[in-house]
Amino acid sequence: MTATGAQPPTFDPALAALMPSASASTAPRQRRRRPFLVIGASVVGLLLVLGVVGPFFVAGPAEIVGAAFQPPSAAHLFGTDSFGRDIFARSVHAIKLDLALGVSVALLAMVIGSAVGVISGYIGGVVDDVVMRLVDILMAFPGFILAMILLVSIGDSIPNLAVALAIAQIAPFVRLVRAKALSERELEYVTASRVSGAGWLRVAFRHVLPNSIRPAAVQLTLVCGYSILNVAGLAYLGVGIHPPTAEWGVMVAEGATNMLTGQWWTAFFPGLMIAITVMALHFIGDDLAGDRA
Amino acid sequence: MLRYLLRRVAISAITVLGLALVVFLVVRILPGDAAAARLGPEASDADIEALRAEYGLDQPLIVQLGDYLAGLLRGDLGTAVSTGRSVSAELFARLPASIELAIAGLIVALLIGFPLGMLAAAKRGRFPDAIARIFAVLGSSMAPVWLGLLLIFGLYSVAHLFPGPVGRLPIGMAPPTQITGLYALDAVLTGNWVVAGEALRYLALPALTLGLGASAAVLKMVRSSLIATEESGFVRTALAYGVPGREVLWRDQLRNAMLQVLTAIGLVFGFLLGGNVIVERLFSWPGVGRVAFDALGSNDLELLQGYALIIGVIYIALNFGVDLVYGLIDPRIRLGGRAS
Amino acid sequence: MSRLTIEDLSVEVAATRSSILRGVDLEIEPGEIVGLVGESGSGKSMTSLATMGILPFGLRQTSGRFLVDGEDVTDQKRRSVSSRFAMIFQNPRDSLNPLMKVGEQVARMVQLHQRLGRAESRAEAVRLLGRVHIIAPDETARKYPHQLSGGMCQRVMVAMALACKPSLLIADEPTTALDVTVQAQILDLIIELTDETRCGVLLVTHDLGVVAETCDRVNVLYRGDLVESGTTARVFADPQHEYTRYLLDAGRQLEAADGAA
Repeated sequence: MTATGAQPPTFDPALAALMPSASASTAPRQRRRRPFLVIGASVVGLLLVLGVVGPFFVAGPAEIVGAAFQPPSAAHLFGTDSFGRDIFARSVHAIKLDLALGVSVALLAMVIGSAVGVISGYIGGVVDDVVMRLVDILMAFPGFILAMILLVSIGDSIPNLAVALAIAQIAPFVRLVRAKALSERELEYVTASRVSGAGWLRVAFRHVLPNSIRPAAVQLTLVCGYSILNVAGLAYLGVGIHPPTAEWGVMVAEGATNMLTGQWWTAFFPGLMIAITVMALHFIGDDLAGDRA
Repeated sequence: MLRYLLRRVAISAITVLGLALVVFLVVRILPGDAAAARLGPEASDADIEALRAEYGLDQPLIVQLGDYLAGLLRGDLGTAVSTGRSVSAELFARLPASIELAIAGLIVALLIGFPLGMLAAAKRGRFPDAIARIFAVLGSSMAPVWLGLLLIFGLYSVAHLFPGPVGRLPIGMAPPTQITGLYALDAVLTGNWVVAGEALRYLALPALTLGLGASAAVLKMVRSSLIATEESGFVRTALAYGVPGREVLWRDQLRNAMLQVLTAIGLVFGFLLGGNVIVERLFSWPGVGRVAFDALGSNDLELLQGYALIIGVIYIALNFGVDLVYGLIDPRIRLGGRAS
Repeated sequence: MSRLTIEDLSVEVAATRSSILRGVDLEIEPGEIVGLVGESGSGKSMTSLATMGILPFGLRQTSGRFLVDGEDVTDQKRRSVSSRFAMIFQNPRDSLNPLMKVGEQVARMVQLHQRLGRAESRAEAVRLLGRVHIIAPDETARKYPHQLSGGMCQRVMVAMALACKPSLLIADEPTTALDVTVQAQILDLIIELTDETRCGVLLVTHDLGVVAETCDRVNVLYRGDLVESGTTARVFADPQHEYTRYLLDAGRQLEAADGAA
């Protein structure tokens, strides 16, 4: 019996890259269609343009444009609210604030989470144990409740709102990046670069970061979406952002009682803006995560 | 199995302790003064100091922590500054209502998410899969308040299929004799069919609001774990040996996928408990979330702290239960390591 | 009459239309063990999966006919059900359902393919476990896969194959994941049972040592094309295709290296 389990060495260099990519290159390579990504990205792009340019073309966020509770019409696309303000105009003004909040919360959570994750995974030992316990505890909390408690404790303001929401979303980033850091640490080239005197910062930026960028990007889009939803939830409970600020969640909260009395458009359209935005972000994240997720 | 069990118990206990610590620190270290808030802007500094002393808020932090932990062991969560009643009394009285709602929400989430997830996995890459994925994205993109409002508007205001958001029973209807505190269940147990029916009707919309969002998470989990098992060796074996696809799905894939779904179902609990404050406010549901909302309005940190702790403990307990079930289902854990 | 005839089998990736197998022909007689060799990615596993009619998600068969015992089964979507194929795989423990006792898993195949009742299927399963030389088959039947060694799991797989009374056994790298001594035992078992049952065996492997030891004839697959086919003795003594020569050389070098070590 010959040596078992050993693969014969590669026949020729082309063979190494044989399946399925090599044969794919012989056939005209068809690009994977990515409708979800296209839709998601277009919607986000459209919102950005509308958010930047829109405010110059619509009524002011506090401007009273006519009678209260006008149903949607050509003049007032989304109708008017209980004060006679134009809901479409307010929704457009809100884009900047909502997207800025979502993005800053996600970035903040990612930066803090990744830093903690790299350090924890790289140092290992007791530090890692303690960090992971803390992460477990953070995860033992629905993010929304945690953000709510934090916000009330540190005081109700918009910057604090971003901080509270970010802290509530740190845990998944820590886990993600730590797992990568752990596996990278074992690789030989990392050992080699350590021997040659590179510090952990270098390892973090050169090796761990590129490897965890994709899952982190997925998480980033999701967290951005959650945050917009959570802002709305908190606004409904009367914390975070308050009336008369033009913000989708606040507008939904203001319109909640009108919905019961028949003026459905007051809460419907701002809520729709939230749903469309979050959906677009999810579409992007889903596409990045791949078909299995 | 015993080792697994002990490990789980230890981990849960540590997490609960850590939770208590974190909640305590968050509430105490950070600014915000419950006493001042309760007495209002008119109060003199002396009055505030007196109230702080009454609640032990003037003690050094470490003493407060000791008192707090000792209290926890006795089941004492402190006193709600805004109402003067004990936090545990405030919360435990309302707990059954929240549990009833969470169970109903979970049932809705599973009833919708499970079959759709199975369908999506079975028709992977085809039309039903795309629809299910869109549903999943939609479900997790709607603000719970908004979803609830839409349901109320459509099914109550317009269609009159379900009652409006006024609580657990029609105004004036007496609740059933308390056994478990879950109205629908108590009414059935006492044979009070009219009340049981009404309780279920009033439960429907809030449960749907909670459950629809969570069903998206269930759908995703079921789909991805079924797809993972689809590519595993034993499914390939079963198919290769001519076991009918339907049997493979039910007996091989689903049972194995259940293991993964189970471990991830903690996420669903997160959804259900996290949405609890909003849904209870929206539907005037007298549960712990409603207590938390009132505490939020009166800046009652003691009460909020108790609420956070209760939610956290329930969440940990549920996940512990999930781990237990996992251990029972999976022979690799039930029977321990390799014999060879 | 041949146990299995494959004519002009081609498979491609559905999305990119890149081809994986091109016009593969193959023939297996009763009681014969036929080797299919090639390195990873050459398409040998796809040949066996296509034969069973269970190509993985995303792959598509574009041409090819399958005859089993002279009967054309090409149009039967799940060929495995009716035509008594059986298959054993590289990783025996992964090939068994971790949540089911092994006896139950064998009995299930007995029930399905021999149409016996529940109790009789159980008894037959235990008998089959004995037939693949498992000591204490009664006790083993009540174990879960994770409680058995890799070699034992592969024996269970062979017992499952026997339960189907197959015309054809497809063994896809059946010994690659096993220890050397266990490998030899499993190959001996396959040879013994092939003689006894007169079924045909398609042995898919990258290991020429395994081929030399067990196969009557051998086919060499290279990048989706069948480049050489003949009796094991002829191919080993006088390879016609450059790639076969290369494979043999590589094998001999390994052997020499082993001998020197």
